[in-house]
Amino acid sequence: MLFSSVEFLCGFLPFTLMVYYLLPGRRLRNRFLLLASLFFYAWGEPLYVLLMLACIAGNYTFGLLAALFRRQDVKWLEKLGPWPARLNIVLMLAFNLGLLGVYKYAGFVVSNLNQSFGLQLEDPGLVLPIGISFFTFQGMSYVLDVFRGQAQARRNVLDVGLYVAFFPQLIAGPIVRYNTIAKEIDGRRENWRDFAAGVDLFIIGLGKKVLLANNFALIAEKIFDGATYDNPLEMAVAAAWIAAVAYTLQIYFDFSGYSDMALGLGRMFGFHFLPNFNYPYVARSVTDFWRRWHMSLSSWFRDYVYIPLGGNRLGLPRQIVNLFAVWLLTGLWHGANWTFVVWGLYYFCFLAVEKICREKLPKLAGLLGKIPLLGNLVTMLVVIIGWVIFRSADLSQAVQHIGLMFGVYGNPLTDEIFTFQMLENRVQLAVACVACLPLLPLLKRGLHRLHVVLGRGWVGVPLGVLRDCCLLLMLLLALAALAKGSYNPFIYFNF
Amino acid sequence: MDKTNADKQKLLEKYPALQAWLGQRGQKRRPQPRRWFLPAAFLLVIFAMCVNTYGINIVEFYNEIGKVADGAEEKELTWYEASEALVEHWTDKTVEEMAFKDLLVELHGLEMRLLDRHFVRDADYSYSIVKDNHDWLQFITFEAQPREIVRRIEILQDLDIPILYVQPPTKHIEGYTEFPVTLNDHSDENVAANFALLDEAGVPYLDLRQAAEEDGLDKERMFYRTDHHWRVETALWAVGRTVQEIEELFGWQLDPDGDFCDPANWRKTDYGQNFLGSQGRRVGPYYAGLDDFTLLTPLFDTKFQTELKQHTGELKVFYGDFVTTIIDKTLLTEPSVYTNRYGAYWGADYPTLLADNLNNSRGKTVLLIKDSYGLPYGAFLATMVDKLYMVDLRYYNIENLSDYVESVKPDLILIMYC
Repeated sequence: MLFSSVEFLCGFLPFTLMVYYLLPGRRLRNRFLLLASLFFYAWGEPLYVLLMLACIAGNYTFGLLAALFRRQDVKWLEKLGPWPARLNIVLMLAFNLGLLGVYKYAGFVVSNLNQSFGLQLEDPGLVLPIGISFFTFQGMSYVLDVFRGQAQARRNVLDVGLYVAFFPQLIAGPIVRYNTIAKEIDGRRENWRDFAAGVDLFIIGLGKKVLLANNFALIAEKIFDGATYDNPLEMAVAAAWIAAVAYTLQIYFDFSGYSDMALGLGRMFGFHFLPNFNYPYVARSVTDFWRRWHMSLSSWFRDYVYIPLGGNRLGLPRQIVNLFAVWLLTGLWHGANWTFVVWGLYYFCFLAVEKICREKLPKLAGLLGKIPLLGNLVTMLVVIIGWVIFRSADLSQAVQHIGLMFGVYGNPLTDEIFTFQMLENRVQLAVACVACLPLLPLLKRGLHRLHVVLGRGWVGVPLGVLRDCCLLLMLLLALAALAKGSYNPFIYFNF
Repeated sequence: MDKTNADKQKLLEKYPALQAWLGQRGQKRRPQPRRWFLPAAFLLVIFAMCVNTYGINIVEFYNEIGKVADGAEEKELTWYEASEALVEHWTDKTVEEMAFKDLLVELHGLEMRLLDRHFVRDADYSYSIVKDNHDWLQFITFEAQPREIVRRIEILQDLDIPILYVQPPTKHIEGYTEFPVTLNDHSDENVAANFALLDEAGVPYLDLRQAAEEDGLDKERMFYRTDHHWRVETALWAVGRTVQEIEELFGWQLDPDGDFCDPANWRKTDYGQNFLGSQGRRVGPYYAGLDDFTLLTPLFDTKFQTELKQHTGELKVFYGDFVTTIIDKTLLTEPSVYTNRYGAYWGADYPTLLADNLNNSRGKTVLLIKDSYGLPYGAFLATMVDKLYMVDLRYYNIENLSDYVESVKPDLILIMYC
């Protein structure tokens, strides 16, 4: 079930909110949320909900064992040393990564083995369970946090179930770290202010997804999927760019919109998830971009892969090796296709170069950093080309599209298709460009100053009413687009 | 001192003039009021949608579960296949029954109009709306196989009854209609493919696209702007051209004096700005505008007995003049512009129907194999023949067609199923 679907907005959400707030007591509310979350998942994956339940049960058991092996007061455990705890972690990783491997990568591995060695292995033909990358990563986060002593193991499997399966973050993240919400599972206090903030976030996310991302999806799909040109090499440079830019905007508004909705829903039920995006397209370097994009995934890899491998502590060459490992995994996490592997390694190259520059050529890096907008433009160029690799069906399409963007095939500079798409989407493009900039925080800061000087009644109340009216209009327009049955794809479902 | 007060103090220290101007007001601190409007409006909207989508249609949704359960049992589906089927049905039903849908579609249409969009995508791509260079709404016609009735024309040829295939004009008019550059229409290619098969089979056809060009029909008035159908007036002209063609091909004079096909012998009742067609209903009147609808009814004396076979198998019989037997007035008096005025001829598409013209018992018997284009066309043609049978192949199994034809024994088979 998508958040941006009629059955969610008109059925699941109001029903869940109503029952949740009618139920007395934390325990009952948590049990209901778990039940609702399982129903939410089963709606899209009636069979794979069993797989998710297995994932919950497995990680619950590994969590208990991790807690047991940390106990100092059991003598026979002391005698065994650290090996049982480590073995438990190895088994937990094998379990979670095994699930991922079988369902996400088996087909990829088989087809590559067949191609490389001329084998005739049968493709298992497994359908990718929705959100498997997210719930397995959350499961691992839980056990690792317990193993490291950063959190207590849950005695009740239903609590672990709620953490892993909680519907706002279940199928498309953010990847919520266990220690972020461990206390809130039992001790959260729902209140109207949080609820109101949640509504704001949810509507903004819905608007980003339905009003912007879905629209850019149409442009990108039309050009990338070859429906527009009989011969793709006839595509004009400008048309190739508009497709790349449209996808760049689609993936941002799609994923950040979904994350905003998840954060908003969490707030409505009293949970505070960490933000997943921080205006990534204003980044001044690739490193900065990855501090702002899909922050929950970046920090997961940083804390559970990069730092355990040695992080920055073992010298530059080792850092580069660690970085390589992280970005190979990041690429693979996004999908079982060579385009994702290359995309991950593409970022590894830029991040490694930036790291080396910072360490070995600090003056040059400082100098370049002082040129206004240079960093932003170069970063955006890197990011847009990265998304072309990410979006392409295979590497040859990626290379071809990048070639078309730079006119290497002697393709024309512009054509009617570019002109039409620009004219047809001019308003959305303008709105999207503005929405990529951190204007809201700037405006908020400015307003805060005005509040301070003039008092809230002079500025805050009218602007508050204006903001609420705009958000309400956004909600109605999003519902209107859904009523029309508009195109409503979702990218991060597949990861 | 909290952060707000500290900031305030800093600013006031920085700008003493401001402090003087503000006097004591700057010192006042009001508690931040609790926000009610948006959260309350949000809850109101989603709960109103919930009640009006599911609450008032609860029986229908319950029946949907029953239907899926029966289907699952019949097809011997596993539990998860049945669950998937239920989700699919439920989702479709939800979108179908969504509360305030017309209002929301109108709002979406208004937004699309303000954004000056020429393409409004639908979840089902084939129902996406294109605004062409004349501001007509259009569906995109995709490349398609020739119609089954054309591919299997020998079913009818074997019966040894004269056949005439009638190709109505397409709303995408070659040389007149232009789509946005990213979109292509394949109407003409599809028609050409049909004609190629008919040529091969030796079946004559009447190309009304060409006839319209020859007769200099006003292209602006051939179709409704918001509907995929031709205007009723165009259908009357098409009947005239068909009658001429029949005379040329078979020597039968269905309208010897040209009276029946003369527009002067038909009463025009205008319903100005009163019709939002099938394409307009997908985007609402703010995007599409409204169409004028003109009802044509004969000024001459008519007497019919009509038998309309319902989808349920039930037979409805009417007796009387043209208006009593053929026109469904409820579709004209209903005030909503969303009402399908075009369907006023016969009231709906039926699997089969018979119009027995009691004023022309020595005339010909014609079988019209038709789709919705045939509604006004059939109604006008019925005035010139003894018996008009109409079969709609969307609701009638083609396998049973030859038996049906043999049972009604027509003098001529007209095919207008495009």
